[in-house]
Amino acid sequence: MNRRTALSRLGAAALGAALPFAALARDGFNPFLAEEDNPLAAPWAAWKAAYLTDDGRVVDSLQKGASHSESQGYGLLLAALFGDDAAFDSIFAWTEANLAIRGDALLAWRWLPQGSQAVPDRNNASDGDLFYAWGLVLRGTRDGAPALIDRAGAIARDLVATCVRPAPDGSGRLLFLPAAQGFVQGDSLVINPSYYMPRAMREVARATGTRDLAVCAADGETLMADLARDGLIPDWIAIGPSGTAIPEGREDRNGYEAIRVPLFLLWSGNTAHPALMRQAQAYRRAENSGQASAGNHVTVFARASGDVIETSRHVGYGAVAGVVDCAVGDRRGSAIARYRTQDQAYYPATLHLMALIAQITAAPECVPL
Amino acid sequence: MPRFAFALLALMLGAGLALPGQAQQGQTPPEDVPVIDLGPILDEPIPAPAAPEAPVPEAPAPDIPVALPETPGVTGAEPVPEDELTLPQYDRGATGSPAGAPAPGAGAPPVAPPAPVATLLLPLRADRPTMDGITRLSGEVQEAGFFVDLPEGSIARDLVISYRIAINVLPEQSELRITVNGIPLDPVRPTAFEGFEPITLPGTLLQGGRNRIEIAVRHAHRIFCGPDATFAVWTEIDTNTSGAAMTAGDLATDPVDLALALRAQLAMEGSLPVRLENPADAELLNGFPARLAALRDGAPVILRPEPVYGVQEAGPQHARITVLRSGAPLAEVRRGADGALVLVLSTGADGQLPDFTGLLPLPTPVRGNALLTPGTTTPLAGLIQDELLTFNRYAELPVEFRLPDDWLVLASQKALLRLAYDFADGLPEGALMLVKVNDTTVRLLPLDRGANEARPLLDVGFPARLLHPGVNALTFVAIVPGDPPDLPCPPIVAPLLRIDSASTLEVAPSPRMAVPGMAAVLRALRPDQIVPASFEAPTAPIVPDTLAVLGSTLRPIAETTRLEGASLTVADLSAPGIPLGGLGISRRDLDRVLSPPAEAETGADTATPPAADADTPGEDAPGALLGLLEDVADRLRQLALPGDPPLADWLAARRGEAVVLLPDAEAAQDLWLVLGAGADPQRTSILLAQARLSAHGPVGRVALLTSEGTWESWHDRNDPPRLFEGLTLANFRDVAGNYASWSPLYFGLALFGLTLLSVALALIFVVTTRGRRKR
Repeated sequence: MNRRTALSRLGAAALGAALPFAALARDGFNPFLAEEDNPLAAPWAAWKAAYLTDDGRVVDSLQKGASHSESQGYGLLLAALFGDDAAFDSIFAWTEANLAIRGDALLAWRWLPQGSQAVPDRNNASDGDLFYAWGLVLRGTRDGAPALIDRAGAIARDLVATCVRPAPDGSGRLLFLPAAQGFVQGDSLVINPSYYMPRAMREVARATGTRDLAVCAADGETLMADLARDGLIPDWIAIGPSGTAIPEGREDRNGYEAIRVPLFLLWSGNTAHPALMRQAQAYRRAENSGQASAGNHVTVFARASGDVIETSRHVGYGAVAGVVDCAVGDRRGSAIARYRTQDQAYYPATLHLMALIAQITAAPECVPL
Repeated sequence: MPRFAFALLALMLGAGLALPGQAQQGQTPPEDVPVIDLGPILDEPIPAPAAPEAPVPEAPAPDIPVALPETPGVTGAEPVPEDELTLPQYDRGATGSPAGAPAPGAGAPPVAPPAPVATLLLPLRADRPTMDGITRLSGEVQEAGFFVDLPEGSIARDLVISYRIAINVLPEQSELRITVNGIPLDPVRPTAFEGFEPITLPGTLLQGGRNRIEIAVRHAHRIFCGPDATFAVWTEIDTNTSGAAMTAGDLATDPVDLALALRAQLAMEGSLPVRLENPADAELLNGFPARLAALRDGAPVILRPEPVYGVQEAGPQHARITVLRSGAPLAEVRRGADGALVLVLSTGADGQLPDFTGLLPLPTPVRGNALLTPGTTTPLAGLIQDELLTFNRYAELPVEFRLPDDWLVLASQKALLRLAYDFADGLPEGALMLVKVNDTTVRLLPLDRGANEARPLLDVGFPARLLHPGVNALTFVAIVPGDPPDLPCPPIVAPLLRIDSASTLEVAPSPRMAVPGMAAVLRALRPDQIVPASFEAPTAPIVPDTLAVLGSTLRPIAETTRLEGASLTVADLSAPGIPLGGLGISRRDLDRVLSPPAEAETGADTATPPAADADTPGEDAPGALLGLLEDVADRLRQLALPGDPPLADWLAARRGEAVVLLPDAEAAQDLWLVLGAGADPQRTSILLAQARLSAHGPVGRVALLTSEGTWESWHDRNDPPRLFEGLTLANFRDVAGNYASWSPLYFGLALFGLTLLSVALALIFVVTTRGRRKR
């Protein structure tokens, strides 16, 4: 038992059984989630049953049954968090066999089940690489497996080499590009704020010594604080010498991409981050105006007006809203729906599971009502 | 696209790869940007950088449980065709266009499909609620009243009546007539033979507040007419699936609507979900079933714990309770993510529940049976709620009433029913009415003649000993044959029999006496007086389950007084310390009675020692003589103490599911409920609760719940009547009569002893005074 685990357990013991989840570790590997009686055992089992094939492929049915480095990375991270070695091994094996086909340590971003060519191109997706590396770090740290840490280190270094760039706005920040190729528009760089997962970046940086990744996490948090001053975080933003702008061909929206920003900030422990506050306000406004309800969960906001553009029946999006709203408020208990995979696609179902993890680890007072 | 991708690639290769170094140099943030201390991270040892040409993991060491496969295409990776690169992007919208489609924004935004509107059914409530929520309207003509409460200012989407009919009903000549708030609707021809089906009516018929719904049915049997046919035609209304259909989100997060949502949830699932942040807080809710009893009109309120972080397997909930741990006690109504109204109870620092008095409806007592005051002439109107009339060819019209618990008549005193009644003209030959007192027929009256004759009040006298303390039933049974019996009945437009509620009943008074029994204690029990046999010893799940259900079903009865010190101890057969000694039976007797039949037979086989052939009567003279003597002894015992045989003998011929015991006649407030292995907690609890208001409920020292759902009671004939007032000249005759009836032999012996004493005293007087007179 490492020191953090011991302290967590001592804390839990000191508080007695009264606060069973309150004393969970706030960062790093969470031993409670990896134990047999972890509170999310049933949701994790449901997630695996719905989206994970026996050979370790995480299927995203909305993308024509494709798999991608994001789904594989999320799956590997979840398996590591829940201490599910079998799931971890299968996801790892499939991913290494099918997506680790670039000339560097990164993963090709997409694998298609149909057609003659499963991987049409070898561009990467940096968030998939990041979560994949995070999963390797968690498992490698737990098991003392240097090979896994080495693999994570190679990914981290190649992420830094190919996807980390200085901001062209003179701020001195490092930016985290969505992929190695395709996100430079003239003298601007296009980023997707939801690809920043500060906690993952820091833990991978710490385990692999990839300093720039940690810098990138910190810079990302300040960047998003700046963006939140003007409204909701956009799905995509271009950063050029003259500042920020919505990239060409993109809309000024806070949607399916940016929904992850408050979730990842919360999961990273940034409960007072302005972007979290801004998103919570938008959710609350949507609910008070009747635009969001138990069966309609907001997925897309117009950034400028905060109006709801699109809603979804998938409760996973509502789970993010529920935990975010609670985390910035002062009431105990949150409106997080019960976990489900029925009638819920891979993406919202995964966000749903992540929202529950974030609640337990970062906002224990937000117990689902 | 290929050109664009090529351009991007060229840019990246030409400019991007040199940027990390620049980033290192320029990482000092401007002053207005928050700075995060990276010291803890960056101070950690930094491993040596891996060689850039070897980013692929090596094969795992043998002690690593993860298989690191060979990575195909890495060491020998072919160059990426620059014109085939795509940008990672996904179509997340519910309408999901294929991956790789044009970037978002290229066309109209995806439109989410409309979410189905969640419906909540505010259940119908019956004027005469039943435990299972199903009201049966039996016979040729029958009606029942219902109501449903709506939030003020709300509009129901539909009014749903869920019903089914017996297979013998002839739809063409049958109908349901529904009246909503006094407005009669068009008759409905019933067709629901296969199961419950909804009749959907416009919700605009309903209004905020209470709505009255009357349902009258008229049935025709397909083939027959007569008492048997009456039993065979019925309509059932399922109140749990009937009611006002609302949009779930229309309910407000206030106490009034919380009660409606809780009732809807209980009707929908029969249980109320409870989420506990800390499972140890479950015991805080032990009193909740009793507290929530008002929501169910007597049906069980079952709390169903569920994990906070489970997987949704059933449909959406309408209401639940969530208990949180908090420093400050707080009770509030909130809306859950699924739209359910949630009673959120945050415990305080002391771990106790907050005050939630104003958030839940207070439990109301059950209406009890009317009290008949002995010695007074009481009109039946004072004992009943509904008019006593029937349109049916077989009907039981009960008048259930209560006599004081210290009323006891065992001798020959009379009770008098002065009966006024009338019946339809032209009823077929053989039509008759039975007057029954506690299932004993005391008068048979013809209904096939003299319908139009003026009848004076008919005096129906009967022995008062047919009545007993507690609940009694006076029942009028109408039996009207079909005319002819092998064709459907003609439509019935007028009552076949009507009992005038001006009829009176008078019961002789008695001195304040009673025989030890459980009925009065059962009626006076309060939910908090129901306890498990042991708080420490492990018990079968049936015990806590029964305790939980009893909490809501055994509601206090109006006009009963709580008996301090009374208790009902619930145990299963394995519980230690069931006090059977005072009843003269052993644990084995109870095991046999409450065991499932097959097991009981086996147990009897093993428990009974091999029969001694020599004991078989008739096989030899000593055996026959012994049998004869035992028979004589039994007869003498019966003469001395008429009544039930010893308990072991009484039980020997019976089987049951549960038994209520009064183990010690001197501790008459201590009752036990012992559950057999096959007892169903809900059924047992419901039947016990109903029996408190029935003339056929548990009385005496032992009451056995049979598999038919009836109670059979045993009285200990050794328990003499007890007198709770002074013996006076006025009450002497009645007191003596009760004792004489309790034990004629003992009473005769006592009289004989008094006679002998009198004779002896007379002789002594005569002898001692005769000599004196001679002198």
